[in-house]
Amino acid sequence: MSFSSFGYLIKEGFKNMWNNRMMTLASIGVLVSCLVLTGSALMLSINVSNIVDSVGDKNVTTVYLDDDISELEAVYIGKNLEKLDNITTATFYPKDEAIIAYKDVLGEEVFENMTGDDNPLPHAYHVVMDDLSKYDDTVKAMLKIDGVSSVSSRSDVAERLTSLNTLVTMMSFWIILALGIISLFIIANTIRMTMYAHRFEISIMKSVGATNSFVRIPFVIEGVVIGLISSGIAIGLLALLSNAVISAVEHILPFEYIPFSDVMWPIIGAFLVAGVLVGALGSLVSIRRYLKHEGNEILGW
Amino acid sequence: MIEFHNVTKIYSSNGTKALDNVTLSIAKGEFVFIVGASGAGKSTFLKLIMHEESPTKGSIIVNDMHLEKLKRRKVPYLRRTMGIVFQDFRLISKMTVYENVAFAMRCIGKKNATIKKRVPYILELVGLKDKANDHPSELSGGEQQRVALARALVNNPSLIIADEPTGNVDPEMSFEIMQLLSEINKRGTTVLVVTHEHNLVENFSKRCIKIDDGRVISDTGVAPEMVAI
Repeated sequence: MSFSSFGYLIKEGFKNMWNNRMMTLASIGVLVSCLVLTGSALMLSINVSNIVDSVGDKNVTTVYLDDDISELEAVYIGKNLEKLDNITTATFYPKDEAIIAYKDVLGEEVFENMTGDDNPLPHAYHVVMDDLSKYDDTVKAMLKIDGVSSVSSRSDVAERLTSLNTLVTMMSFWIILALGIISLFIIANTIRMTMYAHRFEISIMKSVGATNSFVRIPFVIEGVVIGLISSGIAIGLLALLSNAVISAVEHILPFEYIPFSDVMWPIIGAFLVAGVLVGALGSLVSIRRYLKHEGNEILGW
Repeated sequence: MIEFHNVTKIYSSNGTKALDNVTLSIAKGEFVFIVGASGAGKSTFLKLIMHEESPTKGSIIVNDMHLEKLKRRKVPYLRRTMGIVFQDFRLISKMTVYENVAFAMRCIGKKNATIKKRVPYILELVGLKDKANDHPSELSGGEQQRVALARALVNNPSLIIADEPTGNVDPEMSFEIMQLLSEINKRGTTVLVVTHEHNLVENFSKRCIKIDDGRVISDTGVAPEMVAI
């Protein structure tokens, strides 16, 4: 195909969009909504996952050792704790430090005589787990270690955080899938309308010997351009929306949120690819019918 | 140029037998009228030549291409060897005369420079050079048909198929259009005219194939001037 032919086909694609501008605008509007919802689901999923991770990091489990364990024995127990699969860190928390912490909270008087050998508290370890979904198994494994007396169980918190993360991820997946399919139908419908408006030209094109790809190109260009414009608008809206939501929510739920700018490039890339793919696929799906028909069949005569 | 060997066409949708065991041959450079009443099988005959339909039985050769062996992706190249003129002109109303003719060239990927040279030449040939910037709605029926003819000619086809070309124009214009087709034929292009107007056939002493109920019921054979060639 010559350069001037390709230029002509691109021009035709834009001309189609302009001639069919109301439908083009409607498609862009719906596609932008789909992409913004998809992006919002993605941002929510990323942030919830991040919050779960950060809460998990802060979700320190205290492992209490037997009363008669010496500091030397405690070091040995600490090594055994660190050897467990799901343990990220195990920090020794001597009973002297614990009693000071109690004094700070409850006052000197109560714990005045509870220092040195009279300290009734046991040595302990502060343990951070890697994967909170394995919380119960890890607690069981820790309790099997000689010298470990008890573990302050926070399994309910771990369970809730894990299930929240799974729920958000699943919801995001289904939202993205459903909106992807809806977008495809919308583009296909727009192109079908354009093709219906152009069925006369298509019948002439076929009668003078235009190849199927020649007939197809302007419509594919139209679909791709609609997809790209929608992606561009959706990226801008998503940036504004996510920044506004984060700044509103961080006062109520003080977590560290991931701003749009941190995940901008993969999202821009994904949106542009999705826009181009949905546009091209939608066009190809709707043009197939016309390319199968011949002569007056195209015109419906 | 065109060969039909025992061609039968039955439409699977309603079981209609549109053509029944047709065998005929049209040589390069001939001018042939195809006549017959409505529903006789003329349109099916044209559709088979253009490969819009495939025969149920028999074989067809058009411009050295065996249509039963022709792959789908090669059909556009068959159509580039022919120019088609329709009764209802089929001009694109939002395009000018020039653009309508140029459109046929763009569709087969011709370069702008070639289009700019070729379209004015063809418009002059059909006598419409002055109307290049007019829209079809500003033209008479005869002029619109001449634009359609220009579009059919612009890609220099070896075969022109005109389906009732005078059906929507007045008798005077009909005669002019037939003369134009005759001129084109004299330059070496094979011309196939489907019509039901007996006056035209009688005025132009050309080969005439009559179809009735899907069969060729008469064929005057090659016209005298063709025999002389």
